[in-house]
Amino acid sequence: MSSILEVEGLKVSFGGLTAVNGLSFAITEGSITGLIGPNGSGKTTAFNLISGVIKPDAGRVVLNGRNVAGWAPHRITAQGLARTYQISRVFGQMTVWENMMVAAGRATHPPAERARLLLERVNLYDHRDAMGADLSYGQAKLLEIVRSLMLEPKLLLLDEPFAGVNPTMGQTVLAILHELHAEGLTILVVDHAMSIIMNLCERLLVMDMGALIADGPSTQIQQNEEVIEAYFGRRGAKLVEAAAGATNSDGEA
Amino acid sequence: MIAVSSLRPTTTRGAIGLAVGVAILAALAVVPFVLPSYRTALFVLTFMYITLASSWNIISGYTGYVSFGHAAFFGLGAYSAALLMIRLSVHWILACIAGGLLAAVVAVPLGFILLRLRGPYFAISMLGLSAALQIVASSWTPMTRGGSGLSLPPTLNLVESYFAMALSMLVVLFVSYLIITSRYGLRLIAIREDEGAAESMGINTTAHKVSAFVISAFFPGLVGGVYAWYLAYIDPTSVFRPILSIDMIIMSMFGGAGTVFGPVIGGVVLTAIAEAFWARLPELHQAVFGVLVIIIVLFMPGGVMNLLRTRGLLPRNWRI
Repeated sequence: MSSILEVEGLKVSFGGLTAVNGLSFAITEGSITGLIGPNGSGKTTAFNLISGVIKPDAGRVVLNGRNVAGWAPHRITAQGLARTYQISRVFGQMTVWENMMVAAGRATHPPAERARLLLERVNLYDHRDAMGADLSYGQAKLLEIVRSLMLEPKLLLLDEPFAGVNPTMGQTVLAILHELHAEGLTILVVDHAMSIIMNLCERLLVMDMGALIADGPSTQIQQNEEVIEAYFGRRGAKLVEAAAGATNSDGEA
Repeated sequence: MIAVSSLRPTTTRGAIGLAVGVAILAALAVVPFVLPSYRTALFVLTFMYITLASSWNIISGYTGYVSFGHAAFFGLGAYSAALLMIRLSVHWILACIAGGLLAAVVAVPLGFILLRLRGPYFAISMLGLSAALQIVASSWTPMTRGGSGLSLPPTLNLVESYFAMALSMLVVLFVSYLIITSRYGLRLIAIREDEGAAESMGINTTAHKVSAFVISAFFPGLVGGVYAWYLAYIDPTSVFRPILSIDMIIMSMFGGAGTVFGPVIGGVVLTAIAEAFWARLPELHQAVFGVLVIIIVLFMPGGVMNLLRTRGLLPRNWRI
């Protein structure tokens, strides 16, 4: 499988703070990858750099074989990337249906038919005349996901799709992501819901202090000392290690 | 067929609307022939204000970029049309269209520059633009005769002025309708709602904003020309006056910014109120407008149309 996204030496600073520092990774076509890291590690900034919301100071973002670093977001979208935001950005003064249609520009299917199918998939078709502002938080998250699918993306970036969503709605989001993955869509997802991410993603990228500190299958990442230290600190990491050791001893005993 | 057509009224509602529209048009067509000149002149003024408020509504109501200086385009159109008529003896209709086109052409580079600014910064920059153009008109004496203003041959034809303003109003309303019931209009609303999210939806926000700005500049330029021809005299303070921009905002907000008929309601009601107060309490009529602004902001922020929407008399996503 070839890479749909290659990030090379991506860097951006805000004043004296380097938010992303030489980030490099590649995403294989058809894969589902998790991007994790403690708060402030630069995950959302990385998403913003890849999707064109922020222009990088240095580095390359090769999407579908073209370096799109520094491009305007709408041009990157046209290149096959769609994204959602950490806090849902549904258009509140538009109906659910209008939210779908506004993204329909480049859809290859008949837009109305595609919108209907996507809304039915997340049980929002019956709410198509509701205003975006009237949706529950979970519904807004779902709408934002299916709205981004109206663009028929090749790569979908999801920024915390499970955040603030109740467990039932979370299961719906999870099911949708599994389905999309099974259909061959490439997904890169950021979230703090570790148990979900570990189960959902084949591969995890871990960021800390703006840089990639680990990259591998989720089972491997769980054991990675640098990752544990990034999340819990040096002292916390020792406690985790001790707890793990104690569990092992108990198990052996 | 893309289903944004659902933004347009249903067949029954559309038929009723069409019937009412035709009846109103028929009534308006006979106004200058049956009403006294003073009343007809009031209609001319009302049409002008509706056109201005509707034009403002395209960039500010639909797209969310609130302009405090749309009088700049009105003045630009008025001066360019007047100069074409005086110096080159261009026919008034062509001169007025040229006034609109010049305002639209000027809006292209301005749009690329000023629409990078958001919120109050854009509003203030437009106010500055209007003030700057007023200074140019005042100081470029060889061309504009400065503060003395430009005198045109008196038209003495109220009927033609009436129909010219009426046609300008109908065209801008039709254009507004086409915009707001199209996917282009939906994209403008998306920009108003959340420009970043709109951009992520693949919308070229710069192109959309600039095009909306250009459309919203054309009509003030056009009616600026008609105004100059109708009054046969313009000067910098009359066509670039800041209160003209404020009137557009108040009328649009009163009726309902972001809707087609909001500026119509605002234009009709507020011109009538202003006229009534101007005639009876000339010293208070601006104060009345000030009080109205406070009332709108406090009690009906979305204007009359929003009041109808929230009372369930219109669908919540009604934008016509």
